[in-house]
Amino acid sequence: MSPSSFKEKVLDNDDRLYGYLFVLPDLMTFIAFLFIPVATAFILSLFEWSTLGGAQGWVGLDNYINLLKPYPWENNFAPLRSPEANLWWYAVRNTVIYITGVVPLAVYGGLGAALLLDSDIPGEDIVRAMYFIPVMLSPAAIAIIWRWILADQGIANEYLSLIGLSHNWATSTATALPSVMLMAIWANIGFNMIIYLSGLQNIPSELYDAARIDGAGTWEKFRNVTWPNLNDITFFVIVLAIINGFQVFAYAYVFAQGGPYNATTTIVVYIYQRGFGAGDLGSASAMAVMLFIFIFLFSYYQYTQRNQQEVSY
Amino acid sequence: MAGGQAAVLAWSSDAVRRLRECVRSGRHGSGRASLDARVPQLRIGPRHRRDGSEPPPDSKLRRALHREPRPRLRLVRFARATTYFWIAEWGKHYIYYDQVQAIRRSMRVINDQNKMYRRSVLGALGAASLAGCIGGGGGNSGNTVEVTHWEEDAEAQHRYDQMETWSSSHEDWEAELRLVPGDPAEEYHESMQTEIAGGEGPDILYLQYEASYPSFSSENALQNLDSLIEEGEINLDDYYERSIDMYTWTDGSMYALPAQVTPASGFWYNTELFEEVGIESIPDNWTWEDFRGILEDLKEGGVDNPYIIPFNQSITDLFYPFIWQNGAEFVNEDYTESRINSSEAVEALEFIVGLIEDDLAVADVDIGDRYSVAFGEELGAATLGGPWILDHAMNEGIADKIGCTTPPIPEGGEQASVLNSHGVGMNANMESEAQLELFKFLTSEDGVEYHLEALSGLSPMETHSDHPIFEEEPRLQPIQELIPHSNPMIFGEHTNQIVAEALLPPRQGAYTGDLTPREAIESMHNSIESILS
Repeated sequence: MSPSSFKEKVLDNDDRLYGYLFVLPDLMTFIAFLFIPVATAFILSLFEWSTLGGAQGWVGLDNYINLLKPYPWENNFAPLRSPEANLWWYAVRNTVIYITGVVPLAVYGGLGAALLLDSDIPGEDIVRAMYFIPVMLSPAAIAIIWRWILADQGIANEYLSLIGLSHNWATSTATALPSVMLMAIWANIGFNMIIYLSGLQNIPSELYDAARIDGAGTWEKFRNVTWPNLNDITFFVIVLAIINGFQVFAYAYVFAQGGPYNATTTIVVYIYQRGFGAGDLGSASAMAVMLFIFIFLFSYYQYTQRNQQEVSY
Repeated sequence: MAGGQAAVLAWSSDAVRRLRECVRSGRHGSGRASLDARVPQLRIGPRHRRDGSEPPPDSKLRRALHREPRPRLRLVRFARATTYFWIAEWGKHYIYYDQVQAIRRSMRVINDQNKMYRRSVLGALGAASLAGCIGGGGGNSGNTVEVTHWEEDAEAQHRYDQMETWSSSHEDWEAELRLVPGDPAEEYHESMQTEIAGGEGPDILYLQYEASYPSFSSENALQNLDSLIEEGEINLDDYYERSIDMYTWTDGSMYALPAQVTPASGFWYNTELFEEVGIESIPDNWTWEDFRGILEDLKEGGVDNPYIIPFNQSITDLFYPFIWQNGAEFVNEDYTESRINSSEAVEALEFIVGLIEDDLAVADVDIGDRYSVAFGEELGAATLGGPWILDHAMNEGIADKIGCTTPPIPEGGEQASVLNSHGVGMNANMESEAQLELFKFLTSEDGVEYHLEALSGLSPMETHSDHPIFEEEPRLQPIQELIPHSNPMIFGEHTNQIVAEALLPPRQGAYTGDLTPREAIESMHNSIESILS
């Protein structure tokens, strides 16, 4: 835009000028706290960069290559089976397991809770508040609470020992990650429930009346009225849950610091350990860029799929 | 105190009883000299609430503040064999607390009040200056020297004491202690690293030697002390040569000085639990087999956790001294190659894993992350550690039933221990006269003595070799005996990465049964090679 056309199109047009002025604070925040850090991380990822010492030399794509090799399919999928073969891929594996377990249960658990609370049940407000309390807690507090609950001498084992199922949940590599998933499900159901509740309350009652006149039962009403009308909500909740899943940190780090034997080392935990523990900001930034690419590709795919499914009347 | 009569404000019957006992016995281990003469004259009580309930300390302090226009607080620790408590000297009053948190709260109140007082004086001076009555003036923003230390409840009060002592002798400057939550090798190190990298951070920082010194000195995060040493500003004459060697980095320069240097592999055991199963004493020069036999006896005697193994980065794991004792090494002398892939190392790890598999030792997240506290809480019968184990035991009230000896060695092996150290350095981003003055104090004979009294470790100075604490506390003797057999956990500038990424996960894998000891050692070897290359 030439200076004269900028003046003509923006400065002389009050509506546009005010629009830009209103957007400006958010744009500045976006540039300062998101765009510049992301761009800087990309630049750092091309250097050998020590947290304390700064740039140690240009390495091009070496940080990426070192992280990606050996590839996950090599040595009979060793990088996905053992943290020693390649901790990056092992962290990716842990993160994918986490997402696979947490997203469906937290999303559909939230839907179930919303359906339950949308009907008139006694003490509805209290139950809603109970479901929502975990949303108000910080992830670190949740991880500490669950660490106590699942401790060897914790309350969970107190009851499980009665049926012979007492177990050291956080120390066992087989159960540490499922424990983190369990707490994340507990913490996220409330948030999804609130979103679904707002969606349920926006469904016009006429649709249910029409379905009832057509002789629809509870299941048919859910299948043909509720579920289709919650499509947008479900899309939003799932996308958000998967993005949050990729970024899981506090639950895993506070619960077991990424251990035992890297069983709870997720992508962001590994980024943190490389960047702030080992002081290797170069490869930590390369990981962050790869995580960004994962999330971007996933969101883009979801978005395009969504657009293809949309029908206009 | 004028008049020789002090009132002690104590608000629980237990507080009054403990205080009376202490005064009667005349024992007050680390009380500073100024209080010593006054102790017999203390008038104890009365309780300030008839029902014996504890009023909030802050309200009591505020009342005292109201009476004393500019109070001066001194915190004094009284120590008996098993009991610790604190007295705040406040003008004409002594105030008793039995919780560190209460002291912290009160310190905040006092600091705020002192700041308000200063601000009001400075405000008056500023106004006078503007009116042309006097020249000069200025703010107080540059008169505070910040010192950071990791949060360690057992030792925290000594840090506050240090700062208070220094501040009281420097009218223009004030030392402010910031306790950073988290493990010194993990969260604390990461916080300091990030702050310094951001051009900020404290003026002076304490650091755990193996976690922070290699990277901080390699990356010039700390001020180089060479010129100060040459100019005579810092005197190293009194330090043991070994301490100086530890802190002389590979480039020949010094970037920090030791506040304590101590073997971390003392074998601490609960004498009561040992005696209950018929173990009266531990033999001299005992072997790994003797050790296993004792743990078996404890297990048979009904002790759930005969031995506690740390599960985190702690260097007090049996693994480290046992590797050295069995003739194995971690890396070569110039830190360029891994040497851990040896049958001796596998044998050492196999022995430890055998203890875990047979339930003779516990290595889990719950207990292992806070092994020293867990030992103090009697969740296990024995563990390795330095003098801080005794301090934790004192805080838990079990100091009279713990013993210490040197760790067991393998048949034909040699004694070995990890040498732990806490250093103190000056942030390279900050430079001021006050910073240097405080640093000189913290590394002086008096400054270092606080660490010895806090039982955080042994002194790096020869002066303290005959410190009364060694007579009072014979359990420090085995720790001292380990000094000639101790090695620092240093593997060059990548030390922290090697400990955190190469040694810790495979060790956990072996302890949880996911890796055989041989696989774990091979994994350590490959990771070290990868880091060093």
